[in-house]
Amino acid sequence: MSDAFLSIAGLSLSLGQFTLGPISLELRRRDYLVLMGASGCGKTSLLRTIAGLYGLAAGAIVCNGRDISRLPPQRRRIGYVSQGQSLFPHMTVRQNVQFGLDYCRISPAEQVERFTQIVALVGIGHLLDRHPGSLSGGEARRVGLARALVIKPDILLLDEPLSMLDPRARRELLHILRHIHDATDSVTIHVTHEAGELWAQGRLAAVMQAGRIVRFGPPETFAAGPFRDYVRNLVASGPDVPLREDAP
Amino acid sequence: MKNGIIIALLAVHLSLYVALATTSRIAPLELLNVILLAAAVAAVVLTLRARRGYLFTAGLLILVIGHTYVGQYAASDALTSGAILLASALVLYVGIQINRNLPVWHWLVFVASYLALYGIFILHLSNAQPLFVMFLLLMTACSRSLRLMAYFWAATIGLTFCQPYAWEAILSSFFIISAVHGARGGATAGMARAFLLAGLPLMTLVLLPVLVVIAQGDWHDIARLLRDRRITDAIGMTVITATIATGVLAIFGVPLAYALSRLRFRGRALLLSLIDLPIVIPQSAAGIAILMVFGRRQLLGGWAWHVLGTPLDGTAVGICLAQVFVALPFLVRTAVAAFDAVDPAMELTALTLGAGPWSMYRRISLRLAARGVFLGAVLAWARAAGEFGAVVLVAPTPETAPIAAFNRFNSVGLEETAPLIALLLLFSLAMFFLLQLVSRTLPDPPSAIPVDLDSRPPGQRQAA
Repeated sequence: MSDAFLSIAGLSLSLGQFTLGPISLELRRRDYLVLMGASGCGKTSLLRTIAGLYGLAAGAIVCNGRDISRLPPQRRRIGYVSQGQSLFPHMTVRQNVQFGLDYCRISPAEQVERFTQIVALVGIGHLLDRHPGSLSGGEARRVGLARALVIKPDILLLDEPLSMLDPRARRELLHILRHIHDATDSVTIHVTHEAGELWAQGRLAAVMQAGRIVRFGPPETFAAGPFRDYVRNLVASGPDVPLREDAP
Repeated sequence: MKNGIIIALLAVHLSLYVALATTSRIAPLELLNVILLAAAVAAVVLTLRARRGYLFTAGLLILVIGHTYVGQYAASDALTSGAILLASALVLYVGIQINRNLPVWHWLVFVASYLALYGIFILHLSNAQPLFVMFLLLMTACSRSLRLMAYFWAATIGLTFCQPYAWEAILSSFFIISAVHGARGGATAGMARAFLLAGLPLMTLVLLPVLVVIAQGDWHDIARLLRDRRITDAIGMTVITATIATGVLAIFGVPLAYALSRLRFRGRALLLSLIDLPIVIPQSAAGIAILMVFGRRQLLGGWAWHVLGTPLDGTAVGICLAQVFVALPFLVRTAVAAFDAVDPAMELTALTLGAGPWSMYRRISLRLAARGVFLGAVLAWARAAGEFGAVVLVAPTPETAPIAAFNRFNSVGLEETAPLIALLLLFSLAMFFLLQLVSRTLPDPPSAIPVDLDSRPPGQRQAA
């Protein structure tokens, strides 16, 4: 408990017919959690709840010693990359990435430094003057990532960042995600409902069913037990990315 | 067989020629008659030697026979009769070519057009043979393409039956034809084009009166109106009150629209339909209802008089009030739809990036809905500026432009009001197009950005 960086305790809420939770989860700094589950099991709702779109009925979210469960989204220090990236279509890539910097209360020099650093990290230097409408799927995702990263979030929430990409773009984006994880010390929760190659990404994995987390632990432990077949199906799409060594 | 027919026709022509010449019914040595005789003989000889062109020669012989023994009595003079003969020969030739070389539709349209022209210019409008000849020539010139035939008939009907609005009618129908012909679409394009054809006359119903009024406007009269103090005051009053009304609507209505788009609450559906109320109730009823609440003898109206120092009815404030009432749905409805099109995930993203609610509303929601909101404001402005019924009851003076037009019509009649109406229409059109143009500079609604499943940059896709 004491070394938990993000701790979710007894989180629950209902969204119309659907009930999310109760969910409890503890993650340490620099953890990378791959959250799996079939469509409609509540993965996106969980991310949006952590991000602050929905209020909690019960439970608490504590991050870095702060109880953020009653804070408005803009004060939670969360980098949220939604499934469609939600790039602001009326702004250039540069303006999109700079958006969060305007609210960061850091000096202009620091802003420039952080901007340059993130742009280099994600590799979008050549896209800065384009508009989102002219980007390819992979490029748009990288811009979405960069925009979320400039605020130096405590928690990075990725909603299906690899879906609907061709294999090459997937591999590129996976490398970038790994790069980002190595270069920052935020907690990452990566939601997916299919991609087997993600398996390689996570030091931790969780499976959601009907609004609850039914399995949580290092991926190796999933090879046995009642979820073996379920996970095997998820993984079956064939990883072509080498297994990642554990984070230091 | 074919040889026999044309020789027989020539024989009929020759024998009738001799018979009528001996009874002095025709002048046998008149130049045209001689030429026709020679032409008939020459055509038969050429056809017999070349062994083709029977159809044209037979038709020509029938035309010549008809002309020689009937045509010159029917036509007003020999010149007209000759011209009709020549034009008919041209029609015959072109008709044969069309029948031989083009799809059957062309031929049917051609024959039907010929008969229709005959019906219009010879039977319906008597004494119109020269026009008949002219239109026949035009028809043969257009006959190669069905689209040209459509333009031809639009012009013909416009000129013959739509006086004195001929040019307006021709302009509208040309617009329809080119729109229908130029329309492209997917699998259902055929049906959709038929729908377009069926629906566009409805637009003509709107366009035609406007075009007629503007086209018949005398520029000197309009210039004189612009020096008339009463008219310029009315137009100024309209612009000022409509702008204030739209401003009030923008200040209160746009945030209301955002709330209606984002919140779900009991009674929301009722509230949304109440917004449409001003469209549903008759404008005169709206005016009276406003008077019953804000009239100077009423409680609220009296209080407003006390506070503002001016009564509401019969003043510019009252005009604005009535305009806000009738224009409200146009702004709020359009703005709700515009905000609905903004993805809430985009707003959430802006919030997580640190923007406060107001900052998010200003930089994301309002910015992305800007075009829709602006268009709504344009509609509301136009509605406010054009409102008559409610305004005339709440405040017949000071005059706004619609009321000035009505008063003028009542006092001096239709003819004298026409220039004023032309001026008002021109002014409204200019305002409307100007504002539409401004709205083009605002960003596209977010839905216009395609969901992109292809990870290659757009430039490389064509090559692969």
